[in-house]
Amino acid sequence: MQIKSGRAGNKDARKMIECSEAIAEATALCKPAVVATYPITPQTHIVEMLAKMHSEGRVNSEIINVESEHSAMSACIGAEACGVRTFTASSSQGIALMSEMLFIASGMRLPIVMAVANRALSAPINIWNDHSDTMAQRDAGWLQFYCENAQEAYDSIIQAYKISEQKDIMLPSMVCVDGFTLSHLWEPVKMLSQADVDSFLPVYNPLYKLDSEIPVTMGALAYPNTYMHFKKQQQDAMLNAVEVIKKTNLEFGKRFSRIYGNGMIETYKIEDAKEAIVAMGSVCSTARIVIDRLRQKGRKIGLIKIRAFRPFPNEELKKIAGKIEKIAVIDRAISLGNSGPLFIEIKATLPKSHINNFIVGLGGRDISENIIESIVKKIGQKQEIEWVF
Amino acid sequence: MAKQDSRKDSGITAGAVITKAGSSMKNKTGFWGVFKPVLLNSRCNACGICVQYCPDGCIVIKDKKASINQDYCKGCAICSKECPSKAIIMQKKILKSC
Ligand code: SF4
Ligand code: SF4
Repeated sequence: MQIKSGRAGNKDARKMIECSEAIAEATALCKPAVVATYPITPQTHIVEMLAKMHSEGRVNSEIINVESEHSAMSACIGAEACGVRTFTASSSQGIALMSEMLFIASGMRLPIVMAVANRALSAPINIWNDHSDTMAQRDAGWLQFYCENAQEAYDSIIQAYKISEQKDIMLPSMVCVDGFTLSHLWEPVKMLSQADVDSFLPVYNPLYKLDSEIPVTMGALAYPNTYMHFKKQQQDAMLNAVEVIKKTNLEFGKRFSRIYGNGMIETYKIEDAKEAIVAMGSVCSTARIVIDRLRQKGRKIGLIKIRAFRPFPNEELKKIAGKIEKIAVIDRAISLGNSGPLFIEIKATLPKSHINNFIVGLGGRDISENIIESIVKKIGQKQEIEWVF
Repeated sequence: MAKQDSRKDSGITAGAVITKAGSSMKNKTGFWGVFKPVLLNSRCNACGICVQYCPDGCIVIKDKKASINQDYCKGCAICSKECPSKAIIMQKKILKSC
């Protein structure tokens, strides 16, 4: 992401802020009527901050302290079914526990927004970052955005509500940040005003809501003659989301001078590149530094950052990857028994490219510049999948 | 990309919401049962206990007798057990064809 030089005045004032707090601030500006809160490392700061803002009178949301993540998602589903905007945040085991409800939220077409501080899954227990938790929910019918820094997380929360709540989408979104690596990082973040967000994000207007005056049934049984139609609808909505994500990113860029590639993917020095690193999340920033260094030595290498993993940027990748001969896909998760989940998808999208997969950073293992450099050295090698420790 | 919407093909709502009441009446579930309740008219004194106990709401009092709607009865036999006058007996259904 490139932050253009700020305009004068308070509007573009930067605030030194923790990424979790930035997410809470952005959420507050979206004014969810209900926030379900349950602690889990490394997400806790987000809901903690919202509860604090509520106690200070800065947030009017109903804060529900639930007894588990399954309940957190259930509370959001119930509230959202009543026709109001909702928010929750979770990580790791919490995401795993609410898995059942994630599918219900998307199947009922409830545009809930959830922040995720990505963390490894047990066992062995580990509280640090990788992408196992949300990759395991790949098929839950949620839009998934992976953020590179606090600013992107802040902006993506606001965009996510706008995207999710479009009438031809009506699907929930996960806004993912790397646990600790990003969630606990302090960064200068350009804050928006309430008036900014109010003019960008329309008031939520649900398709249907639970209302005793006009009763409807939600969550009804679907027989074999209709179930497949409902799933097709969800898939259609996901595909519709591609254009809406791009449009929303562009509109946000025009309004607030910050833009994230085309919304689906973001590229760095890719124009004349012969090689590319494909990655998601905070590791992209490390990759940018390594790419700069290698470029100075004359190597034609660039970065493709996957911002939206669901819907997957198939067309966007095909468009830019034609010229690129060799690709290294960095995965922070492993689909045990096959390879990295991002690699599987990239390979299916670009069957003609030479693609290597590097499994790195599981359970919070640091991905240093050296690691990225060693990956770049191996681009084009025969061995398809390699674990880099 | 053209907007896609399979609702147009299937005539169903997003998220499987049913917007009008009464649609469950279309789903006649009476064939699920293995047993069916049979009322012994002479024994029934229209006390209405079976009406209250039937989990499917199949029984009403009509012309001073219990009247059982077999379209929705699951054959659970609760009515038969609860009837103080033993006015409902359960009969095994005979399947005509499979
Ligand atoms: S409980 Fe027995 S007696 Fe009473 S209404 Fe029902 S069938 Fe008739
Ligand atoms: S058998 Fe069960 S479902 Fe049928 S009428 Fe009696 S109580 Fe109702």
